[in-house]
Amino acid sequence: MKNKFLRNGLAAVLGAAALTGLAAPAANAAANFVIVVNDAAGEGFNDPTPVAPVGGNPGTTLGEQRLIAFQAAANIWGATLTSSVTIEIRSAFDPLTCDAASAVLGSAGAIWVDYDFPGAPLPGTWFAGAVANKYVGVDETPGLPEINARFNSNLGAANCLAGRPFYLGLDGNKGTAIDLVTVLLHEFGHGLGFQTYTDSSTGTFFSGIPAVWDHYLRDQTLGKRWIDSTAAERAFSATNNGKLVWIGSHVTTAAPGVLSLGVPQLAVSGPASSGTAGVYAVGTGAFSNLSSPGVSADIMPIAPTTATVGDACGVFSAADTLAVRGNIALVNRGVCAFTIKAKNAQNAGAVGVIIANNAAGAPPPGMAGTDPTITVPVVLITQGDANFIRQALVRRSRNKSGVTGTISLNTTRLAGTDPSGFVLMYAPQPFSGGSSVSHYDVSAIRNLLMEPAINVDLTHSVTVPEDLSFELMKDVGW
Amino acid sequence: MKRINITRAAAVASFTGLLAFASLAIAADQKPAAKPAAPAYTDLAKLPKFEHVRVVHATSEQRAAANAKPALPMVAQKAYLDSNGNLRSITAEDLAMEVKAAVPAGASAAVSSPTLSTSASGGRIGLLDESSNVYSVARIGADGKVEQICVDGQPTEKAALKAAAAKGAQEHSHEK
Repeated sequence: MKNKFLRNGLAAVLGAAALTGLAAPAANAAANFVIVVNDAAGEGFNDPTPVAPVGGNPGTTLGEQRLIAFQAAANIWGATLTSSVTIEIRSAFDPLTCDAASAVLGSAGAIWVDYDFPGAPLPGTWFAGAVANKYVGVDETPGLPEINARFNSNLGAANCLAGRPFYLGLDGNKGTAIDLVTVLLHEFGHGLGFQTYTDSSTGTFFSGIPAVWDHYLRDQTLGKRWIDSTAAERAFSATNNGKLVWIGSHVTTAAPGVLSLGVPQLAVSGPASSGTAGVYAVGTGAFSNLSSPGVSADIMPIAPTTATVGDACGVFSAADTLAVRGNIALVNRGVCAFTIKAKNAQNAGAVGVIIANNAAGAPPPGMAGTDPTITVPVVLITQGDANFIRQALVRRSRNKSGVTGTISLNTTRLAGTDPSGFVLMYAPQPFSGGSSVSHYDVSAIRNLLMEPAINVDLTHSVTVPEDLSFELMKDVGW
Repeated sequence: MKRINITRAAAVASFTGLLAFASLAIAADQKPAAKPAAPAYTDLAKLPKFEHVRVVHATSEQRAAANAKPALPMVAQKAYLDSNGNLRSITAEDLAMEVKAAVPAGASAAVSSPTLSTSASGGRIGLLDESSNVYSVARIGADGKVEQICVDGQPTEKAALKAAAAKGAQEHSHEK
């Protein structure tokens, strides 16, 4: 779970105008769902195993409780969206892939998509079936559900994420179990339209037709929306971490009411910084000690160590102590714990610590561990950024580099937005099929339902001020 | 010589007969004890009511269509129109064409080369198979906490589980 730095109470200053979203004129509120149970007698939703009511779920068999949890999740979306056409979810509980330590919880997605239907908000553009039905006013594919949902009937059993079953209560008091209602809200969200139909790994449009998402995804490096980009540019953008944003007006306008001000960052400047000057994304931990305006000092690397000894895993040498005293220590990740490295650097007199990741990839991960005796700021940067910054550190004295690092919490920026104020979409390196693009970025604070990882502190809300899911739904036509 | 009490013998015989009759009568009032109950469907009438949701059991035809989908990714879910623009049932000719056009399950080409159809309103419909679904997977991390992430398609989901297992092993030894 991400750290919470500052809770936002102020409106963010948006650097550019957001693209107007597509929300249809409001009709009478709500949409109705039908859960079409696809299980056979005696299994899945029809499992007769007796269970005790739990967390507001009054079912007395496993099948009943599963159905009630499905209803509860669909009801939340039903009370939020608006459509006169019933949305059908083909639903089943089946044995899915799993072992003792990992499991497929479930899957969901739109069964069909539609373009150039009567009243379509954008021409020549794919929309989720449920959205299309809303505009047409009748079911475009009678007899065919809009969403497919399958969940794991073995979860929690031996050899299937043992001991971690679905929590079937409706109150969120899941303990160490997996809250089914939250997972359902997330997966139903994908089926309702929180998903691009463009192949993000290749940039290829589905059947040559752009998705509504392509009108609102913008790459800030290229300065282009996906709809205006080539397939190669879209594929590049899908891994352009920190630069892929959502420009729909509903999300952009609502973001200050949901996200917190305060973005952890490393800024590089100084007379010797040359081309490395700029702001870098960082990973943080419980011992990061971030503040505003933060701590500034020269960045000084320590002498490389062997793979078995590990940077900063022991007491610093005299030369390393001279280098980091009063400066920010740059050390490589590996061999010993983050906290040990930070504490050793602090003991040598460093006023801050930058840990360089030892594997390629972005964004920089968070750091595990706690140590209340660490008082200096500590952050982790990507291996690529570290190698880039090191180019400016080649010419340095024994205790000065002329490359100034500032480790801080930027309190003028919303966590989960780019410097222009647009909400970031998840674009990690390397590409992660299914996670990339079709989720909000993991840097968002507070945690959002439609991030790729489902965080334990999520509520069952899909609306402001708890969440931005419905805002994106409005941008794509709901 | 042993004398038989005729009156008593007749009385015993009568009582035995009554017992036998009574046993038959009781047995006829009971279900066979050894036969197990057949699996049942959840009684939807017993479920609490939610304002915006209704639940139905799929018909046997709907179940068959959904369950047949993995073998014929597009066929089971496609909508067909007759010459008047109304939905119609799939024909043997349709099926033969779909089988010919079908790509191997799990191939990414299934997503980028879909079969399109036209709805009664004139909208163009594209069917998505389960390879375009978003999967939620979970693993127990080195710290004992459960992490959940989204991936797409069965191949990716399996790879994610393998990666999760590998990552878990790595973190046990050196999460630094």
